[in-house]
Amino acid sequence: MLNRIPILSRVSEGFSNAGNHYAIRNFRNALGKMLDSRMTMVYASFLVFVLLLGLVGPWIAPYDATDRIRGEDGELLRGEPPSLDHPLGTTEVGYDVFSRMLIGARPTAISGLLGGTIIITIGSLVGITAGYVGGRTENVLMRMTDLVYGVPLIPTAIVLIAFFGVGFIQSILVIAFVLWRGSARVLRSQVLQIKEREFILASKATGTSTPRIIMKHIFPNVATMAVMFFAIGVGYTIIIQAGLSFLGVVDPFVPSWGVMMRNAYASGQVGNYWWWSIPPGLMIAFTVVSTFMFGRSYERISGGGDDEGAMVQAG
Amino acid sequence: MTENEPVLKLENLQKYFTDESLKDRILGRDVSPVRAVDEVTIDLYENESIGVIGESGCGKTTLLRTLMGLYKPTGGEMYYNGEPTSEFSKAEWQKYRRNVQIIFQDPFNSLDPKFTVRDTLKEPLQVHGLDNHEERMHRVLEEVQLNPPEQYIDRYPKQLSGGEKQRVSIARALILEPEVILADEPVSMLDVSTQASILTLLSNLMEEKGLSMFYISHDLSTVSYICDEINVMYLGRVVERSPTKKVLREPKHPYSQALIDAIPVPDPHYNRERTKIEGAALDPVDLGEGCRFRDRCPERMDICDIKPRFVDVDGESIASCHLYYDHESADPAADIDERRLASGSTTSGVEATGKAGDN
Amino acid sequence: MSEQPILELDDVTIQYRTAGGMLTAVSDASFTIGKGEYFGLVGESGCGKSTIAKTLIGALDDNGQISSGEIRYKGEPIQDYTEKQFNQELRWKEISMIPQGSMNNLDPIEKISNQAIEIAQVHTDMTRAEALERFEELFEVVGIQKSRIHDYPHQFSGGMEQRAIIALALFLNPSLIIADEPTTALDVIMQDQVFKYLDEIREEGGASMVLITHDISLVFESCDDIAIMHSGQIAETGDIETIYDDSRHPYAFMLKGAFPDHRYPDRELEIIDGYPPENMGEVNYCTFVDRCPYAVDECREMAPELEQWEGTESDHLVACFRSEDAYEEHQRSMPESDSESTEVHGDD
Repeated sequence: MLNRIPILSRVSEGFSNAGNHYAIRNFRNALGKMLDSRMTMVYASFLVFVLLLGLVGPWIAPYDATDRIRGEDGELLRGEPPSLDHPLGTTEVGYDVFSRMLIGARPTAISGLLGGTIIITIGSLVGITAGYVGGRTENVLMRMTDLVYGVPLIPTAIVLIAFFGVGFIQSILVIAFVLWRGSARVLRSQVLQIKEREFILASKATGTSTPRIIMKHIFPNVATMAVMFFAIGVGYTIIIQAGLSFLGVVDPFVPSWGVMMRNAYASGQVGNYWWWSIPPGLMIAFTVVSTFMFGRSYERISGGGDDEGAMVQAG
Repeated sequence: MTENEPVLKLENLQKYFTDESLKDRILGRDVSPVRAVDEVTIDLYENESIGVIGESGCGKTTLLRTLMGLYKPTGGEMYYNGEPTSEFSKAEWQKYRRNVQIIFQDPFNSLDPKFTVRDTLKEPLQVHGLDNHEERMHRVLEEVQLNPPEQYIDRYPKQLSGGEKQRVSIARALILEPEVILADEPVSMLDVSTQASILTLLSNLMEEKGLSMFYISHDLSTVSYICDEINVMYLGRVVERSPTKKVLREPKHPYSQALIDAIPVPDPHYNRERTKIEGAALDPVDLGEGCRFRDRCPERMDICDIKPRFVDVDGESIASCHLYYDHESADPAADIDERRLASGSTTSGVEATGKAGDN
Repeated sequence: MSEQPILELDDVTIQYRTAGGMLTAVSDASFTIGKGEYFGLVGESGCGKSTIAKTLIGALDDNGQISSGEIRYKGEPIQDYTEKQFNQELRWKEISMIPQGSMNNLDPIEKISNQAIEIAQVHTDMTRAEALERFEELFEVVGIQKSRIHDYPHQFSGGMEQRAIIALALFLNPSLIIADEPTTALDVIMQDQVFKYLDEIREEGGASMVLITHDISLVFESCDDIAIMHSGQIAETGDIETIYDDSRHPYAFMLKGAFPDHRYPDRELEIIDGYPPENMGEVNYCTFVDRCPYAVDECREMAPELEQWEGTESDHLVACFRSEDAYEEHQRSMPESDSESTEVHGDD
């Protein structure tokens, strides 16, 4: 992680115990405080639930994604409404919707996490560098960001996917390579504020190197913002990927929730088979809302109390 | 270092900004520069403490940042133990940064909210590759009277009071055992009841450790507890340099007089007259060469459009004001030429400082 | 002139609901301000002085409440006034505010004259022309050319902006002005310019003022009466000469001693150890007890009440169980005060 810069590792006594590293400490503190709030608890539990599904979903699913269910008479069970055997019914072509829901958690979680990670990596690299270094570097990086702001996401994604080939990973990359723009902008402005604060100047005046200042002072102080953008990035990737799936430019054989909705719609029976389209829709909606709310409350809680000078009594 | 050599010597130090924003580098564009620091000459000797006093916008913050090595001067020279800093190598700068430390004004901003006291104190030790971290940290916390150190070392800034934070800032400055402390209004944000203890701490530490201090402030009433000598700054220039008690008792430059007369006196029986100065200080752009205070000065004369020389008023105070020298003997036109020819128009001031410093 | 005081606070306790319980910001505060009187409220950060300021203009934070006591404005209890009542009956017309001197108090995109007209139209039936005429007059009172009323706030320097705010505060002829650290953000010369005009207003005798500040010298120079607060309690109150010459509460005389006076650069400054406590729930102790070198057990057992100090004829109230002896002890412990003889400020 952001432990230290290699050159300086020779003076690294005390940080060997990673559990005591301040970044981890801060994260733990914020998490602890967050879980005190009941609503945040609900969002967090839901996200943990989706992640767990992503891990074990395919194993606990009663049927395989490609198992077509036949009734006792050997006929395919097409569009069967929910029943005890099939809690969410079956699809037009006889897949078990419940199993597909369980299996679909994994690609959804993967796209969210991967998308979020790429977004925040690019966003914080660009934003923090631009904000801290300033001058020409900042100009170039921020104009680049503006340029990306001019890109209409969905049409561009369709074009790019057509270019690189329809695929699950491709769709995530295309989304992430556009969506980092928001975090870059906000992180830059955060850094602009922080770098003028006196503890940064004091550190500079002591002779601390720029990379070290960025890693030790700047990054930890924008980390809560970064966590928020990561969470929002996760949400956005999931929902936009679902949109792209719906438009049919995502690999239809990766059984994500978005693809399920697309298939339900494409069957022409979406009005009849509500059990096919509504559950993945709800899961996507809940997941996305949970990531947004989780990000916001992390930012609110861990950003708030720390640097609020007015709260502290002098003396 | 010889006995008579100043630790820090500023010679006609100059910092102009061609953009309003202090961040921008000089690009050599044809814009009137902001003359934030304009030919400042100050010597700081070992175990001496010099104050720079002025209102906001007078250039004291720019001066401080130049001293910290964060800004490159646009003119003049800064000497550290006799060596010109403009010719410093990277290693020499690193040595300078170890030996010149800063204490900031605002206890809420000067400590990283994500750092414990330990993290804050450890950073300079790591950067300069020193050992015995724990021992040094404990010692320095004891020196700033955060006792027992164990009780404070793992706290975050938000768990400290304003005065305690300021002590941590002082500890951070002291941990590298520097020669010079730059202090940027270290008590102005503290409550009165705490101010005195920090001032006492600073002046005791100076004495014990033989430190030199460069103390920047807008507040003349606390500065007398720290500084031997005061430089009064107005719009980028030093207008008067006097021993602290002298300037409080008998300010020479009209601006110093206005500044001191405006300080409220905590005594209802004392009938102080309100200031007669009107208006506010301008931005130091396009002000011409004359005295910077001329437009607000109650003693305004025609000659004030010409840059005043530094004159030794009475053997103690040095002021840059036309009131204090005889213009008959020195042709003012010659004065300007002299300034144009040599950048050393303030030489008389430099010599005089040397004298004052020795006292 | 009636004898009716402008403002009376009677055992006012103000609390904030916080995650940790009820935080008592002001406990049992009482003082009285007469007509035309300038009253200084002095204390360190967190002592509750700004809470009192907010309460007096009906701007207490949402989690704050007046838990007990009475606030009377011209004899009328106002502690239960709603926001609407404050707006209709008190704000600007009766009680106005000079906030901290910083750049954020005026709407930056509106001419100052328009801001004044808006206030006039909301709170009075003045016409536009009348409002402008009145505002021009006031600009002259605070020493700004009257043509500049049509400027935008950013065209003023900090000191001028603060004077423009004073003009606004005086605009509807209030009887009481609450000035909360009016010059803290200003340089000392600007501060003096601002107080020059506050002095003039006082001489005209129109409005009373509560000057809330951490700087006791401003109060000694500009007010008639003073109250010194520590951590929610009023320690001592009286007229400024009495408090200066004969303060009896340890916090009052120590605070006075902690204040640097540039006339006596050699005088040793008093240090008050520790910092104010956070008072949760009912405050039944002296809040200064942990910092007070003269405290006894009694000080922890109940809160001292403000009582008339026998040695003074005028109103001089002290809230200290040890007011009789603490001062004597303090005098004895001080090194012989030689500061008076080394007065250095002699040139005016």
